[in-house]
Amino acid sequence: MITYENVEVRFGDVVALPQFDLTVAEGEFFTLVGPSGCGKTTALRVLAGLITPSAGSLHVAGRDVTRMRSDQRQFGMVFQNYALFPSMSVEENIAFGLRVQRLPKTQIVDAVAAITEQVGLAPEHLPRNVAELSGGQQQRVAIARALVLRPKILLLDEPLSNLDAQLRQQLRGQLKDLQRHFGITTLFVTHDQDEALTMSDRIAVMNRGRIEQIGTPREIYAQPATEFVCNFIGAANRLAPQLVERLVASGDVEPADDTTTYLRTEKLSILDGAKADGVVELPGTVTDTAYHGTTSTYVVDCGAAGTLRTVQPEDGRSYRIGDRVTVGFHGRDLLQYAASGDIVTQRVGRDEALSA
Amino acid sequence: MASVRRMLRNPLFFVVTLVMGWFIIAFLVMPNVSVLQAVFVDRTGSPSFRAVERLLDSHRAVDALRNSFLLAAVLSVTVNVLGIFIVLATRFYAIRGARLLWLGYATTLIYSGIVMVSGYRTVYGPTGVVTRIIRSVIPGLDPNWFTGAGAVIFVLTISSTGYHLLFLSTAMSRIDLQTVEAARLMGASDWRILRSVVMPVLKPIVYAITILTFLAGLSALAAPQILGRGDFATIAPMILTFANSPTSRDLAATLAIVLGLSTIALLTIFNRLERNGLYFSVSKVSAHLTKQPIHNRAANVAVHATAYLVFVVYVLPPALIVLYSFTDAKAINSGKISWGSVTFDNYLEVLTQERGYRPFLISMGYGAVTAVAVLIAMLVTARMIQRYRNPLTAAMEYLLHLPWILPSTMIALGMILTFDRPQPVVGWQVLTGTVALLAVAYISVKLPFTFRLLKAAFAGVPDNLEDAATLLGARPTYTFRKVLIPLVLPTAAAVSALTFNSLLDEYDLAAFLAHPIYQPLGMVIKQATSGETVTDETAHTFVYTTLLMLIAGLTMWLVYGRTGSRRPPPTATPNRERPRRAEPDPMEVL
Repeated sequence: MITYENVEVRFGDVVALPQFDLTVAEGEFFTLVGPSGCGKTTALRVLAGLITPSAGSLHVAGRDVTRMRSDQRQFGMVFQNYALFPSMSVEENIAFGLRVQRLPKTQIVDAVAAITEQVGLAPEHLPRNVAELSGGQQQRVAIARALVLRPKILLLDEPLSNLDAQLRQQLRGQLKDLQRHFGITTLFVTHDQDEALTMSDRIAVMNRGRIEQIGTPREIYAQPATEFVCNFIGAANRLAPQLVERLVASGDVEPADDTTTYLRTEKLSILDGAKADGVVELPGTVTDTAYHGTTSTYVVDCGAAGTLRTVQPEDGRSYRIGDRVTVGFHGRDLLQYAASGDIVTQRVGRDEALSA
Repeated sequence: MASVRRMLRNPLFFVVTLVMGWFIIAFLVMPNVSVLQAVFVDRTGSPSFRAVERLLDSHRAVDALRNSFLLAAVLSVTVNVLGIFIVLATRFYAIRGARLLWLGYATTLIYSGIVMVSGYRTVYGPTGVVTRIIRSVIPGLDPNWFTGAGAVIFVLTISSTGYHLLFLSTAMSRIDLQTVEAARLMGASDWRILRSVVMPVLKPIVYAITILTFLAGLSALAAPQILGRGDFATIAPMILTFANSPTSRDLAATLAIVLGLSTIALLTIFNRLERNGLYFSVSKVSAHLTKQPIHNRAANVAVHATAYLVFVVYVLPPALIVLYSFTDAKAINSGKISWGSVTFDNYLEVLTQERGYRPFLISMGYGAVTAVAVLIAMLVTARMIQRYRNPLTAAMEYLLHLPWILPSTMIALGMILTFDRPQPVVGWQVLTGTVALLAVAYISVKLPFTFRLLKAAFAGVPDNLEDAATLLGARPTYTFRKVLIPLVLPTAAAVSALTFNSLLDEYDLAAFLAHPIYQPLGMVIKQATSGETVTDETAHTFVYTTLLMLIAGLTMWLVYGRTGSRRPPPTATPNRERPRRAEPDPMEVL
């Protein structure tokens, strides 16, 4: 459906997007995730036609759209700050694109009424000025405005980032439902890994203008292909060299020069006494705790083995600062990366990946 | 170059580039070239410094130069002393009746220029009420005592405190109260707080106002012309005198260049100050300033007394003018005004007889034509320059600022010198002496102000509104009309109102360029109030002044006055990118 081929974007001497290649399938909810300045919004704006690439080409449904004007592409877009027209009412905002197309009045009224209902806005909102709406309602107007034109592609540029946590959670589901309902190919840009993991069919993790990894949310989380992805998606402990040497000696880690070894925080457990086979055990002292409701995070000082962070489910056990504990993990859960950032050994979650 | 090509592909921007290019060359560049030619090229076309030599040989011209710089320097001190005092009295210290005092001081915002100078001459002049009171105490006092340098400085000092009321007041209100409270908790006295906490943060704006005051003093025309008389000649009236004779126009041009160069030099300093920025608070959550009591009782009494004395000085002329507008010349001259002498005859004559309303209509016509023409031109130009950054738009932007950095007298003289012969750029027409040239001059001088404010307003509109409209299928012209213009409309309306208002009593350009038959209000007021006694014509000018104050007051209220009680302008933008306020920002006005 969407294909970026060697797309390059330059702003003067700065290369914002070097040699960008990507393919998004029809009807897919595809997410570009990465830190600020990684080029994800640039990639989105290139597709929207708001930025002309310096090189490369863009195809949509087999048609070259690289030089096509953005007003002719028939894409819908929801902006980070919604970009609602403050001088217009809700109804005028939603109907803007329909009026540009000079559709009959009755058709416009019907289309606006239908989309208003679908996005969960009340009809009494229509005559109000958009400035009088709450953030969530403004967001729904922006979505309605984009969807009312029945675009082939929907572009979402961090549309949830200005909402409070609860509303964001609620709208994630609604946005995904709408996307499924309309069967619309969606390119979503976010820096929030939770949003990326929970909403997407596939994800591309970007760093410095390049794609580090493309995969399903499960693949991205369980099999981070690079050290950057491992650090950006989820939380991981970087193991101290002394601990890695010990693990090499015990055969839990393959010997390799100049590598970095990681362990996901949830793969490190606080052991309750019984020793299990193949578990690497480390005694330590709890130095910090944080309670999150369903889980708790503990920071454990393991002496020469370094300080490790573990996330434990709230199962009735709790620890206080100063408590002596033993933490443990399986060698198969370790992630080992070469100096280039590429993965060397990846034993973690092999079973889950296969089952996925 | 790709940006230029992309810009000119838009038909609207193509037409505007052509029209503005023609206007800039014809009316902003050529007149200045003419002034330079008049000074540095002789009649044979050879380079010459003869005009400069003649100027230096002229005692009158050298005196005028010296007087102008002296006036500007003195005003820089007197205006700041008075301006800072009235702002402190009304905005910083807890003075009883501060609102009333502010209203009195703010009369200079609705009553300035030639109208104000004439007003002070009416009150302090030979037949004025103040002169009469003083002469009753000192019978030997010359009735014309209110002339010369002292009178010019006095009137210009009062008229120039408007900058302080508008801009220093705004700056003062942004001072973080917590800094004042912190100083007080550390044992600082009122005086110490003022000197060490308050004034340092206001320094940049005081510097900026000082430069503007210096420039106003340097190029003042009406006050030195009416009140200076022969005793105190300055540059601008001298340029006007020299410009009236073809044999001395080179001297006028030389003086205009001195004025222009001084202005450019000072504005360069001003821009540097502006770049340094204004820092009112470094705290994340600043507290709103509240009025501070003066703890020293003697100081409190002295400040109250001075504040009310200054109030009387400010209010007396406009109050008397309103009163005089309801009486006849005989009653004013005799100083005996009773209920019996109160009449609406002056208003009836001004509003019903052609002789009375003609100057008003002429000025309103000039104001309306200028406001509309400048607004239409600058709406498109400002958007084009704000959106496309390329050598063509950069050149246009710099050239559009020419009238902002050059004094009115130099612009007027340049136009006289350029268009007193057929010019191909205007279809081989002679424009000097026509009605059109004054309109062109008004449009020229109002371009930078409108441009700056509209460009700022467009810059305040988030780019993604335009992107959103484009993605919804709208073409650039449709987006401009339906999305962008409604957003900058409040600023556009405010700027147009200020432009219209400022031209109603304009004198400086009219003195050079007005058509002898179509005399605008400023010229009529000047002529009617220059005499020794009050005539019926003078009484008509009091009606004009009263009406002008009403119009100006209404404009100021519409543009600035409602901000205090008004809610923030509607915005659909949830984060930091809020559109700019609708009314002109003080620093933009500066």
